[in-house]
Formats: sequence, structure tokens, C-alpha cells
Amino acid sequence: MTKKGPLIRIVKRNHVTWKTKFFSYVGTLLGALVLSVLFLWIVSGKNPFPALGYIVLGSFENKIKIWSMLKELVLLLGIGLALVPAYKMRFWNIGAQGQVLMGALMASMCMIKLAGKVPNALLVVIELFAAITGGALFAYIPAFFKSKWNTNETLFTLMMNYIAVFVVTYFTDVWRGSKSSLGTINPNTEAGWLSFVTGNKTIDTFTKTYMNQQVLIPMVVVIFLMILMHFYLKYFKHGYELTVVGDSISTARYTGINVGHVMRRTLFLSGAICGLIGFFYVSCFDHTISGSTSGGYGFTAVIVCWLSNFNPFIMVIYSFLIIFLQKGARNLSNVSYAPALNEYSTEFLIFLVIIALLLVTFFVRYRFQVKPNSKKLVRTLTKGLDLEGGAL
Amino acid sequence: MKNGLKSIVALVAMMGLVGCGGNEGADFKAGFILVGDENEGYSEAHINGINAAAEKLGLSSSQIIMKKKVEENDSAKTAAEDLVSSGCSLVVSNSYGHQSYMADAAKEHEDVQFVAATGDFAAISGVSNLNNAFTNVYEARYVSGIVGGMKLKELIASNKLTDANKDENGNFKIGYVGAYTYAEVISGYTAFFLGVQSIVPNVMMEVQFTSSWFDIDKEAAAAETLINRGCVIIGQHADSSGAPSKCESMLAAGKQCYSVGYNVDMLSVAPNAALTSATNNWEVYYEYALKSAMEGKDIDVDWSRGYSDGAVGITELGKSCAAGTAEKVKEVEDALKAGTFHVFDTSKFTVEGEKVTSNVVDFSYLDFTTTPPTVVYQGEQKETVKTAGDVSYVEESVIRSAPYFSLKIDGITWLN
Repeated sequence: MTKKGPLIRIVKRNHVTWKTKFFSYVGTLLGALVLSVLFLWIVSGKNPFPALGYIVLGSFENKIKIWSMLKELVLLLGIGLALVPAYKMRFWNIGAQGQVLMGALMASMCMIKLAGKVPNALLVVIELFAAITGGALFAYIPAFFKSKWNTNETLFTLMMNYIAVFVVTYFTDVWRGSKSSLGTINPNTEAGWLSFVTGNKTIDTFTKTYMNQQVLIPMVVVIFLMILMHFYLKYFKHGYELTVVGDSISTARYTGINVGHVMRRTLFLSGAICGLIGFFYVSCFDHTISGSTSGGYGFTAVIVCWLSNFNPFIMVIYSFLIIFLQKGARNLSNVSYAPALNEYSTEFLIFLVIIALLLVTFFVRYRFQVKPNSKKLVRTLTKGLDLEGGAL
Repeated sequence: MKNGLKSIVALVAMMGLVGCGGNEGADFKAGFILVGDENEGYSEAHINGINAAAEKLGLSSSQIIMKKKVEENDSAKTAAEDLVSSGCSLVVSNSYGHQSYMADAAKEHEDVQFVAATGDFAAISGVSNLNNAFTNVYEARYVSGIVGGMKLKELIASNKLTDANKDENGNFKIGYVGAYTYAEVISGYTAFFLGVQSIVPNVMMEVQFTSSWFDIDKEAAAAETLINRGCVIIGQHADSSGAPSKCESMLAAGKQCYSVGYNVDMLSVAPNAALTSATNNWEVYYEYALKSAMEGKDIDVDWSRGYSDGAVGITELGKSCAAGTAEKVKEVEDALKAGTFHVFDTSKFTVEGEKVTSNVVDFSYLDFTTTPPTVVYQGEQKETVKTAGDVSYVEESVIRSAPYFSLKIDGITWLN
């Protein structure tokens, strides 16, 4: 008999024009906006447009909100960039959370153990190096297992997150002593705190007045990283190799690529960037560490990464969109515009937009295909059999 | 480009403000940074307190800005700065871990008053516009211990308890679910224990810690451990309803166990097992702080009040409470209000068999990441045993608002 395939299949679209793409996305976003307005209207029972205003104000009301939004954007984008090489290789690293935490832990450990023993500038450099190594090694472990024994990297990296949280919790419990929480590390000496002070009065006053000095260094680094990542993926041999591995492991093998090596190397890089972000969390922003350092960005970055189709530049747009919605939703609940618009219901807006984007991205890249001429095919084959039978 | 963006923002902002109503004239604003929201008892108590105080002072909702679910990291500082930029002249945070970031923000905005509620270093940090606040919740815990003690006494009198409910010395067992092993919790459970002991002298208490302020499962598991070990009254210093729910289900299954909760009335989750809960009434503090800030007055660096100001209390007594409980509670509450009664009366407890005659506390804020711990903010060493008339007692929450009673008195055992 004929072997029946699935009736509906997911087929990759080949040539999607720039125009189609543009209108699909704009249409979807407009649709999501209309649904959001409807949602706000129904839930709050009030004019939904002021609520939209509060959403915008969440990121743009004043200098502080703008820079706070930029800070989150930089961190999320940074983690997203870390995931790109791994994802392009189809290595589903969902352990960014743990890798960031490990970087953060290494940085904190240096801050605690080396404070006062080495000059501050050197301490910051050691922290940076330790954080990058910490994150890189933590990502290397699942890559090692996958390359040696073909373990499932999704589960492996996911579980590594929990390990990281518990390791961090253990250390913070030791470090906080009899206090309720760790508090900031080296609060008096500020040893190991990365700060933007150039010594040039004009620059320092300018940045302090109009910007948020804390955000500057990570922002520049992440922008630089974004450009670097673009070139790494596009023009370097490493980038080419990992793309081939992502497309087909067999092809990679036939062309003489050492798949295991590429896998380990790429994850080492991925983890190293996560570690760098962990360093920023501890040294630049929080000056402390806890199991919830980096929040859920390790997972949010997965969505950002997939939506942007692993393009570092497009990633900025999606990171911004998600942060903008998060800040907006939070602001909307904080201003108490309507009692029903609380922290939970407003999060639905983020969900709505992300789902809409995921759907449009999916349908721009793929389409459902009813098995081509399946009925006709079956008919022809059976007919053939009949004929043969008749001939006998 | 930038101007274009600005005008769009301004346009939308204006749209946002349409229909919000104006509060011209009243330009005072206060901001609150909360670690949780209405769905978590601890922050809920703060939110209710803030709203009640604002209403009393005639402040409109646009003058009170709350930021909920703010984590204990740099985002607390961002939240504080955002509140300052919105025109708040008083900024209050409600969780211990916010304190360092409030201090940072306070240093940069000297014209704004900051309060790190439950914090402990404002007075010694040298930051003049940073304050701390707490309540004398140990007083309420003592009273809730009275309620538990009355129930225990009733159970003993009606022969409901067996040898399983006693330790090897014949003392009746009670239990306590504690969050962490620091002074705040020790002070609280000691007060609770002394309350029970004032009714039933031959009692001992076991404490199980959860290492979390809010964890329903862990708190339920801790309560289960204690009940299975024979503990009859289960007190708690953790924020969920895990322990009361567990008491309710184990009571229904035939165990003798009753719950004394914290923060909120637990009768909704444990109608039969819940006796009462010790609570904070933050409205008293918020009214004081808001009023002071509105009048441009300084706020007390360390504020902690109890029964005498109505800042603490217990919730409605459950139907399982023993007869005569309400009368006994009133008697003790009156004594606490009058200030004639001291919870940590040194004639009522011993430490390693000895009566306490001196207890010097070091009020420095330490950094425990180093060995030995180093001083971050130098505080004084002070004697906390005081004498009033012929009564000696260990003083609590007077020198500093955050609790500092951390003596390990006899009759209380840590299980973990």
C-alpha cells in the first residue's frame, strides 16, 4: 500500500518579498494594537487611550525612565547576542539565565575576596575576566556532553539554570551572615564597582546631568558586541562553520568540519557573553547578587533571538519592543488608572503582542501545505494496481 | 529626529493625561516602593496602611505613587529616582533589601526624605535624610501567644492531649515556623513563646526555619513537621498561609493543632484551626510620616511604636479560641498600652539557666563577607537591660527601630 504522510505539512517559504514582509508585520502590529485597545477598554471600563499614554510614558516620561529603559534594553540585548551563535548552530541554549548568574557570581566573588588587596582598576579587570570565564565554562559543560554523547541540550541547559540559582543562593546565604540580605558588596570602599568617571569635568558633569553614567559603559560594549557579532557570523570562518553545523550536521562532517569542536567553541563564546552581562549586573548596576539577578531575561532573550531570525541588528527592535511593553505595563499598573489594570492584567498586553509577533514571524517563514495532490496521487497509484491486477 | 520623537511622546503623554483630573494646588507627592503587591500579605498590609493614611490626610490618589513588585537590586534605586523626578518629597521602601539602594538615592537627593522601612542602618550611616521605621510587632506576638496559651490550657484541661504532645520533661510542645535565624525572627518567636508560657508555664517550643519570607510549600512542610512531632500550637513568622492551611487539614485528620498566623486574618483558609494572627498596622506610621513630610518636618530616624499607638494588634479571634480568651487579651493589651508591662521581663525567662542581668548589643552594621566581619557603619555598644521600678527587662526597638533582641532563651529548640 502507499505510505501516507501527514496531511498538513509545514513548509518553508522560499521567496518572501520585502513588501509582503513589511505589510505582514505592520498589519500584525496594528491588529495587536487594536486588540490591546479593546482589552484595555473592556478590562478597565474606561477610555483606553489614556492607558496607552501611560504605557508610552513608562519608557519616556523623563530622563530617568528613558535611561532605565535603555539599561534594560542593553542587558536584554546583550543576552540575546550571546544566544545568537548558539541558535544559529541550532544548539538550543536556554541556559542563559544560569550562565549570567555564574558570571555574576564570579564577579561578586572577586569583589569580596580581592577588595583592598589589588588596585581598583585591576580588580575590575580581574572581575571581568573571572565572570567571562565563569559563564563560558558553565555553557561549555552542556556542549561537551552534547558533542560527546549527544545529550539533549535543551533539557541540559535548562537544568543548569537551577543549579546556578542554588549555587548563588548558597553563597549569598554564607555572605549575608546574620543580616536579612546581602546588601551591596563593599558599600564603603566601592571596591570593584565599575563606574563611569573620566576625570574630565566637562564630560563627567555632562553625562551625570543628561544621562545615566551607569548605563554608558555597558551600552557602548553591547553596541560594539552587536557589530562584532554581525561580522563574526557573516565574514569569519567560525561563523560559516557554525552555520553549516546548524543547517546539517552531516554536511558539516562531509566538508571536514569538526562538529564537536565547533559546538564546544560556539557555546564557550555564548557563555562568555552571558558572563560579561553577569559582570555588568554585579559590577555596574546592582553591586550585589541574588538568585534572581538578571530576572527572567535569560528566557526573554530566547524569544528576542528567534523573532529576529538571529540577526543582531533586528534584535535591537525586538528587545526594545519587549522592554517598552514591560515598562509600559508596569507603569500602567503603578499609576492605578483603573483598579483592574494591575500588574497581572497589564502583562497580558505583552503576551498579546509577543504572540502576534510569533505568529506573523512563523507565517512569514513557513506555511502550511496540504499534502500535494494527495488524493490524486493515491487514485493514480490504485489505478495502476488495478491495471496490473487486470493484466494478470 | 529627536524632536519628532519628543513631539510624539508629548502628544501621547497629553492623551494620557486627558481625563485624569487635576489636583492643582496640592503639589505634595509621596512615593512608595513595595517588594510585593496586594496578593502578598506583607505588602498588602503596607498598601492598606498607605491608602488609609492618605485618605485620613485628604491626599488624592494622584499624590500617592506606588511602585509594586520592585526587586531588591538596582531597580529599587531607579524606582526611588523616578519617584523623586515625579515630584515626591517623601520616598518610602518596605523591604530590608531596598535599604542600600535607598541610601544611595538619599545621598543624591538631599532635599527629599527617604524611609527604608524595616532597615537598620539609617541612624549610623551618616545619611541625614535616610530614616528607618518598624513596629513593635513583638508586642502583638506576645498577645497572640496569650491566645495560643489559652487554647493550650483548654486542651490540657479537657484531656485532649497525650504524651506525644509532651517532651521528655513533661512540657507541652508548641511549634513555630520561622523565616530566617536573625533578630527580627528571634525577637518575635521569643515574645510569642513568653505569651504562651504566661498561661501554661510547663511549655517548650520547637522552631523550624524555612529560609524564605514567603513560601507556601515550605511553610506547610515546616508546620507538618512540627505537628507530627507533637506541637499543638503553631506560630509563624513567615508571610504565607501555608502553615494555617496545613493546621486546618491536619486538624480535620484528627491531630490536635491550632494556628497563630501573621500579617493577615487566616480564618478564610483555616476556619477551624486559626485562632488569631499578629498584625502590623502601618497606617499609624504612614500617617505620621506623610504628615511630617507635608509640613516639612523631619521624620524620626528610628520610629517604632506598638500597642500604645495602635501600630500593632491581633486579628479577630477564631471560633476555636478558648472561653475567656477575649477578656485575657484585653487585660494584657491594656497593660501594654499603659506601658506598665514589659514583654521581655527578665524574671520570666532564663538563658542557659541563668537570669539575664546584662545584654550589651553592638549596633554596628557589619559586612559578613569578610572574616572576621568588618564594620561598614560604626554603631555604639549599648546595654539593653533596663530597670523600671522593681522590674528589669530587656528593651526592644527603642535604640533602633529594627529588632535587636536575639537572646536564645531556655525552652526553645531550633530544629534546623
